[in-house]
Amino acid sequence: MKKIILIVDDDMDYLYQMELKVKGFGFEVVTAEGQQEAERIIETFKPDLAILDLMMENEDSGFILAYKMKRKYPEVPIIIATAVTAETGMTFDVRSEGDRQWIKADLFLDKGIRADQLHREINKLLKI
Amino acid sequence: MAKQTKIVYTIKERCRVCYTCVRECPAKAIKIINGQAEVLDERCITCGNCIKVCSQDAKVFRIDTGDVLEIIENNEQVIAMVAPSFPAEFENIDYKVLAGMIRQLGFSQVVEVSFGADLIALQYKKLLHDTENQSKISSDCPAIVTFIEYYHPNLVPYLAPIVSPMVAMGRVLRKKFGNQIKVVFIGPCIAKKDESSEIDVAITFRELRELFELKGINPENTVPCDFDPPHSGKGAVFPISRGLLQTMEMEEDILEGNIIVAEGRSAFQEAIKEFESGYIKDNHLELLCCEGCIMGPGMSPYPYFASNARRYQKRSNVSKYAAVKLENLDKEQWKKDIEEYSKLDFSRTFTPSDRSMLRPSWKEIESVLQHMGKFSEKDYLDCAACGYESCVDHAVAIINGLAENEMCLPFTIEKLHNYIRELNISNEKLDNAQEALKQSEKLASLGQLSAGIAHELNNPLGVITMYSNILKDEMHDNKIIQDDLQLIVDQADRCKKIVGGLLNFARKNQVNFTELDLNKLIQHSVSSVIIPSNVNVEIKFLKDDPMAMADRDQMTQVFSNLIKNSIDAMPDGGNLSIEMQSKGSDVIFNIIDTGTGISKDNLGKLFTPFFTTKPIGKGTGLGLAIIYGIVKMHKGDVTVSSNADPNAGPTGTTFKIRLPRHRIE
Ligand code: SF4
Ligand code: SF4
Repeated sequence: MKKIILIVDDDMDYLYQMELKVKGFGFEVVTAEGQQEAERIIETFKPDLAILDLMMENEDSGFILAYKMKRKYPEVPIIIATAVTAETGMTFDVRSEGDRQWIKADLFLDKGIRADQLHREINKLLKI
Repeated sequence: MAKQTKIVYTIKERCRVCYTCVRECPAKAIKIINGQAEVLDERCITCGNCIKVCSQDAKVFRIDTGDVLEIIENNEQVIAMVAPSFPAEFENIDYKVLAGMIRQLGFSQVVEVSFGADLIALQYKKLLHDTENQSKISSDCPAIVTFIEYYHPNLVPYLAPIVSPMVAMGRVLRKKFGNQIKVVFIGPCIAKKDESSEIDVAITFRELRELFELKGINPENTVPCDFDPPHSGKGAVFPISRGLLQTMEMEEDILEGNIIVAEGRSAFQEAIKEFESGYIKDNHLELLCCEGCIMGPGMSPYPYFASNARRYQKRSNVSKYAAVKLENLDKEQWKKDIEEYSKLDFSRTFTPSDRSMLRPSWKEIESVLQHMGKFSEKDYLDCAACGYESCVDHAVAIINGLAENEMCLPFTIEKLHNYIRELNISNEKLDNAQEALKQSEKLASLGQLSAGIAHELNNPLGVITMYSNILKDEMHDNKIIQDDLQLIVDQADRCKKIVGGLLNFARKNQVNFTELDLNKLIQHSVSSVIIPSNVNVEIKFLKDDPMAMADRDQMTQVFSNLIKNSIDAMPDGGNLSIEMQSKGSDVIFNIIDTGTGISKDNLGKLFTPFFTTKPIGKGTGLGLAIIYGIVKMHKGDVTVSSNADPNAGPTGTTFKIRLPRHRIE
């Protein structure tokens, strides 16, 4: 069975690109165009992995979404992708103990990441 | 080096400008120019007083030893004549040895001037007899003669028209040996150097010693010999006090009581003054510039004060020598000599040459005195520190271009005081500048600090906001908790804005100017602070235009901080008044409390980051530094005045903020 990946981003173009890319890796893709839509989707649906944009309706939408997902599906890996960290004025690192406490994500990626790298990271998280 | 023509001059490098020479110069011939004591040749009477008193050896006389050597080398017959004061100078050398030593220098003869003195004494005796009631001033001291010619020309007719013993002796020698001879005088006096053209060179005992040294002549390698004739009688005592009198053998003479002997620079001047004013008109004046020729400046060693004690020893040496001489005197020969040479002409003339100082009008003098801060008689201290006897004399000298204002000690001290005052003022200005610099340094360090703190605070604040928002969402069924969470969100947002502001501040970013109602701003700032019941707040709002361009959050921060500070300063209650008023294009805010006040020491540190008087945990000490920064970024000023001393009046602190409106007209 193909794994299903949830991609959330309020940038339509980027969302489409990602969808194509991830489908190209051989996964099933479900998309949402923002925090609220995504929240609605996960109420009933459990993806195998989620890739969340950080700044959507709010500066910290990605974090909130990750928090809510982890509470519901603790075992689902989450990647947060953002353009520039400096956008929020916040700097963080999921590998640091302090930041792990409040960032409920497994990986933090730059939006400009190369396709093959992204594929590798997804596989790693899905333990394939 | 060109030959020195002045007899007395200053070695400028040595002069320390103590004015001692000015004080001691009877002719006021020393001009202080550019802080150095220069001898004015045209006024100098070559008395050598200045040489004797200058402790720095800055005053010296012309050395003529070179001329002596030259004359000896180029002439057949060069005769040395030694002044009768020599026993005072060479007390350890027998006179015969001395005569031998001098002869060794190459002189063909060595004679004593005292025979000239014998002759001159007779001349005086005759003169005083012939002009029985006409008083005279002796003319044997050349410095005195010059002094009278220059400064009392009206007294020139009283000068005895008789040459000095030196010149008399010169004439004797020329009579005896012919006009081709050269004559060198050796004595204690520097005034002799230019006294008469009949003497080829005149040197001092000091210079004689130099010559001995130069030629390696000393008593041990000298064959003693007597002085050459003609020999003298009582003339040998001439150089010591009342010398002329004794030389004249006038002890029982009726004239005795009428002879006034005045020696030394003060005494001779006084005598002249009295004589001039007619008090001692009937007296004959015997005047010497030095305290006897034995104290002349050509004697070595110099020190005048130190050798004062030796004055009587010198006298006794001279008298002892004279006694020996008299004992061995061949009276017959002496009489014959006197008879022979008395026929010579010993007369001379004098040329008055008025060089007394210009006497300016009282008005002129007064204006110079006023220049030195002397406005009335009581200011005329006459302290003589300047070298002049009175303030008026000093002023006259200034007008004559001889002296400078700065020589007046009280004036100079006063001036120094003024300098000190001025220096203090510029120090104060410097301090202020330094203070300003410190403040801007503070700002810079504050900038760095802000950046650091802002970055540190950003994440925690983000997390607070985020989690409050999450919780709030989940509490949609509990309105009360939701409201509380909303409060957390709002306050955290406010914090984030402040941090953002700090970051801006750190980046020296522009203030986020928006149009504000300052009255509302103050109102809002006051309501954001919890006011204790024992504090009474009074606000005087702007009555005219309340609008200004400013950063709302930053200004709120400024005022709520200041208000909080004021309240903290009034733990026992009091009044807080906030007064706003327009001033030109600025708005002035005065935040006045009746609190405990800030001590003077702390006042300066107030705007230093992390400076706080609050107990640990109560304040970060950043408040005032940030206020300062914000106001500065608005191009305004913060000043603070405070009184913490109950004895100096009611305590309390006033912060005054000037904020430009920055309105675009
Ligand atoms: S006595 Fe005269 S020359 Fe000597 S140091 Fe004083 S001012 Fe200068
Ligand atoms: S030699 Fe005498 S007159 Fe000349 S400057 Fe010195 S003190 Fe004055």
